[in-house]
Amino acid sequence: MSGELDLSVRVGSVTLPTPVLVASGTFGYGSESPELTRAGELGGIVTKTITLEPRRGNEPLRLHETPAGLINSIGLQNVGVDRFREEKLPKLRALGVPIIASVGGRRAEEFVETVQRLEGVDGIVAYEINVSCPNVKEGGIEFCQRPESAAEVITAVRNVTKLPLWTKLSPNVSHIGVVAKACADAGADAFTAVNTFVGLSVDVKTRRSHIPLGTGGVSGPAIRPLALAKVRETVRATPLPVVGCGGIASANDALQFLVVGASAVQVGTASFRVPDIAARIQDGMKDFLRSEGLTSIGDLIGSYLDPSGPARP
Amino acid sequence: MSLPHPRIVSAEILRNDPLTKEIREIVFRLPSDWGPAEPGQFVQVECRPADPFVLRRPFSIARTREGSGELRLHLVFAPVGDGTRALAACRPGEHTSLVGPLGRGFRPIPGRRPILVGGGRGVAPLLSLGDQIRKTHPEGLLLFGVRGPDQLHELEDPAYPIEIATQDGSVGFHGHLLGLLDALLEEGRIRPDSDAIYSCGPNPMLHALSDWAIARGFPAQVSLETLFGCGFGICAGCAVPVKQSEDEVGDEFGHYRFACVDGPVFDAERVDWEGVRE
Ligand SMILES: Cc1cc2nc3c(=O)[nH]c(=O)nc-3n(C[C@H](O)[C@H](O)[C@H](O)COP(=O)(O)OP(=O)(O)OC[C@H]3O[C@@H](n4cnc5c(N)ncnc54)[C@H](O)[C@@H]3O)c2cc1C
Ligand SMILES: Cc1cc2nc3c(=O)[nH]c(=O)nc-3n(C[C@H](O)[C@H](O)[C@H](O)COP(=O)(O)O)c2cc1C
Ligand code: FES
Repeated sequence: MSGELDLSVRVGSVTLPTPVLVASGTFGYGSESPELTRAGELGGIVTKTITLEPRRGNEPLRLHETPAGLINSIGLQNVGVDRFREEKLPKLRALGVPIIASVGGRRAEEFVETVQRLEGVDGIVAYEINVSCPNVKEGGIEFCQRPESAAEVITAVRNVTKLPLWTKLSPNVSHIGVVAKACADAGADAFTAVNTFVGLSVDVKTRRSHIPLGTGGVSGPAIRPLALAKVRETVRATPLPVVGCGGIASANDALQFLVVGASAVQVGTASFRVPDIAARIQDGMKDFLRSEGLTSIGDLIGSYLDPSGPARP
Repeated sequence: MSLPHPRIVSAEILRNDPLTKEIREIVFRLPSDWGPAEPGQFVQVECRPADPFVLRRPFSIARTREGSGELRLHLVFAPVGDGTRALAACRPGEHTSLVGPLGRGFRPIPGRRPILVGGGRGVAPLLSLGDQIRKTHPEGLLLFGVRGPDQLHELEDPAYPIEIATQDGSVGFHGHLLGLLDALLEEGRIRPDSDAIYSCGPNPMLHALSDWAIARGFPAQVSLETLFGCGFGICAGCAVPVKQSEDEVGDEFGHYRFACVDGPVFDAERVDWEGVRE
């Protein structure tokens, strides 16, 4: 009986009703067609990345489909923090789902000011600090590529809020654990791993990239095993909780992330094809718990057996 | 009755036949309480249900027909790439998933005679527009422009008299749709003060048509195509540049609108064609 199954999880000090969240930038502001997406049933909604000023985003075309994946170059199009707070947040809050506000910026001060304008607003349970967008000229991925600059952002934001800070990590680094450690020392409370992988796709007739700006970020099922390995590495690097993200499109996919130690997961690109996929993944998790004779999703988290260790009894 | 709208449905394919060498019609069986769709809206179709494709493909609703407790949804499409070719290979009896109805359709202008202008497979949404407004707008014209016989097909029970333009001159007016519009204007058969243009077709055609209509004072609405990620406003992938008016400073997305929720139908004068990919 589903009533006896416990899907709730904790990400540090935050308790979420289920471990399934939707990823930043892949669910709009959260309140678009909620009956289609079953948004009200989710464990949490991470908003589109919000910046201090509105951003118009990159020129079209912004998407290109690749095998089991997608290259995007959206460029953080968003309404800016003030309009987000006044217009988007009330609708999102009405869904009654924990809100994680994703925040971006070109410099540490912009992150700080954006967070300050969101402080005290009802419904936000944590900030996700996006230091890993591959599609903007300034204030993206380069934060993660120099761990000290990612840490600088975290330190600055840490000074102005008591809410948990989840750092969204880029997979486009040699050692994601090094970046995680630097951010942990700077006061991060958790990590979201990972953002998109830098990718390129070329039209051989025109000899140009399919996307006007050249490279973009690759997401979708194609990146899942790559993301899973990065999540494992992040889990091992610090004791802080990790929210796994990358290519999740089924309950099985999501469970793999929990098993390797993620405290929760985020579903991104899969929602484009199946608008209520995140809710369906929750349903599938319950089925799995029943089939395994388990009652709590927490029992699975970090249950990964190391290749060198003994088999499952 | 307030139904969730839009929704995800598994739909049985009833027919999937060629109309010409290049154009096909596919018909789905839907629950009778689906929709109702407004003309110009679209559906997101899983073209290859078994594959790890990440995206659906958008298709304008060509027609809906009700009867015996079910609804039939007609799409007119051209197999141009992997997705549409896979859809062409689907057999009657198979099921696929549709999300819809989605988007903002045509907004017929009361009191103005509709001139429907369809380029190639762009004729599709104009059929449902005609079906919907034939009662309120009994007079109108349907212009159908194609390259030649490979795209030209019968239009069943059209709402308005049809004028055909073929680029190869095989049928009807010899030339482009704009040439036909010029001729009709010359003959006084269409008039900017009493008519309104509703159009769908390839973006370059829509661009030329918009310039033509604006220069002559016709109100015009165009259904644009761009690449869609989600089709319901969550990915920001389908950006269409629009011209901003003075009172819109600080407007939602600077100068981009989303074709899937703010469109696909836009007022011709709103579109910033310089930035539209053609
Ligand atoms: C709102 C809307 C309504 C549409 N209605 C119809 C319809 O009624 N009938 C119909 O046949 N098609 C329609 N289309 C276009 C249809 O969605 C595309 O042809 C389809 O997505 C192509 O998929 P594919 O996998 O076959 O091609 P792909 O392999 O994705 O692409 C094949 C080639 O076509 C180009 N292409 C793909 N999609 C588009 C596009 N939307 N605009 C311009 N170039 C494109 C690609 O760049 C590539 O060169 C509509 C599109 C939109 C946005
Ligand atoms: C269209 C699109 C837009 C995105 N926008 C953002 C964003 O604004 N902020 C962010 O932190 N991540 C953004 N991402 C990355 C996703 O949140 C996620 O990390 C990534 O897509 C991997 O997950 P997935 O494979 O499940 O999509 C975006 C991804 C896509 C596909
Ligand atoms: S296609 Fe995703 S927002 Fe329009």
